[in-house]
Amino acid sequence: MLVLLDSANYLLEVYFWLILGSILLVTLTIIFARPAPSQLNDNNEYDLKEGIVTEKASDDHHANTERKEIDDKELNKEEIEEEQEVLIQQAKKQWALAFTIFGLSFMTVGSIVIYFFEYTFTTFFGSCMIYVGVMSIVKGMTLQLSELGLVKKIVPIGIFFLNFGLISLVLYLIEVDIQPWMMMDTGIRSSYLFVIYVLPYLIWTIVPSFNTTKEVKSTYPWASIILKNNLKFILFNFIIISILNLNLISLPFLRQVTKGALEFSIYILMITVLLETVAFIRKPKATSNEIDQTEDLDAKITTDYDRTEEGLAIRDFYEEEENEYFSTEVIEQEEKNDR
Amino acid sequence: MTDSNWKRGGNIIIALIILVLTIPDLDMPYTKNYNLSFCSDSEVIEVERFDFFACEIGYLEGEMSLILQLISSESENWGLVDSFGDSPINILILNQQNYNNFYDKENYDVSNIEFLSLNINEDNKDLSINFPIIDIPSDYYFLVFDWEYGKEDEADYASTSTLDISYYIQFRDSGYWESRPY
Repeated sequence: MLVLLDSANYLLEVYFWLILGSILLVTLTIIFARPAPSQLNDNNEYDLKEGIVTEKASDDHHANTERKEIDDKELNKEEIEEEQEVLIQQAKKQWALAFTIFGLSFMTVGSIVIYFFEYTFTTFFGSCMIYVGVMSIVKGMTLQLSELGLVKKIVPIGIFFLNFGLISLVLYLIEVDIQPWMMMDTGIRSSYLFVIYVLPYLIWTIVPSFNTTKEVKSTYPWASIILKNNLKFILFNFIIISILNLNLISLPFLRQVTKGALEFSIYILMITVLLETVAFIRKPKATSNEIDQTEDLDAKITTDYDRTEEGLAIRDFYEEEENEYFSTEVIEQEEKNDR
Repeated sequence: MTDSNWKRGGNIIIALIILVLTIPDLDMPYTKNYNLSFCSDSEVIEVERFDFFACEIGYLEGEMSLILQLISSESENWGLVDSFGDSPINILILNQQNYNNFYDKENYDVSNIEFLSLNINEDNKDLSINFPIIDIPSDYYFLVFDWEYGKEDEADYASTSTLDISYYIQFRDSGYWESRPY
């Protein structure tokens, strides 16, 4: 062990793996600290109001009563939806506050550790605490952001650069000499790619985000999904390299990592394009028909649902004759009156 | 053909275009340094006259030691140097900005004066270069073997020829060899 400590290079390698280990430890802590998904779903049932329905003679006409009941139901539905939104907003605020307090505590303790202790390990430890603290605060901030498409797209890019900046800071603070990419072995290269690209993604996906919009499970084949995501990844790295090629800003470490990621993703692209081509040639009709049918079915369900909600009178009014069109409603009305 | 088929087919076509564009050493004016691969510790390369070979070293900074050896497979007496005649091969270590200038056939510079002595010419027949300590400004670097790139118009007779060069290169932080003496 002493021999290892005497050798700065070995020590730096140990630090690097310690960074990974500690960040994973924090990640696991967050996973186990978050409430179970079943508990989150229970929120929908908290405010279901219970009561006794008593029969009462109506003063008004039957049709008016029905209309009133429909209106009441709609109002109840709206109220429940509003209450759910309020609950989600409250939960968001609580989590945002928790993330902020957690982050600030980590940042403070990390800064104190770096300031008072001059050991390499304490510097490393403090840097990691600052890293986790900043990420936590930003996560808390993003909980309050809207779920609009543009924000959703910008946030991951912002997180990437924030993570990159923080990792660079950690490496600087613990005085790690970054080797040129050509001198790194595959393990170290993979570690860098993991820390820069995968780690922030993992941190962001495992902690709750309270998305009210349900993500629809894609019906595309997995090879197609991987290919699509890989193309996005290549485009992202390509844009960064293009910007850095303009020499307007000098970020050689970022250039190294993005070039390494681009090269890696090209290898993955070779495999995925092969798999996707085979899948496309083998079962193009069945798969695509399934996808189209699913899309059509979804569209049909939505349209029919909307039309039912809106009432028959709105549907195709101009396309049919008035008597024929209202015939069904008249029959229904008569049946109810007979009862 | 359905929409999903169009999308999938489109993705495959885009992927194939990217793969073609990123073939290493593809001679296209717009690929610049996108399709360059990283250098290996030791590699056999082929350099064509009036052209160049380049690979990416990566991020370098601070005091480093540099070992560069050229190995001729044809002769033990470094016959390689004699074969160049009046057209020496320049071995360059360029940062990103200078590499782009070099690529665009514009004036370029080197980050460290020591890098200029990497050239192979008749006066420098020692093809094993060892810098124990060389101070390298923090930047992203490329290794370039330039054999009169862009000078085709200036040559008396523009006959292209190719040459196989085997090289070995190592960059380490300056204390590395003391701590790891193997």
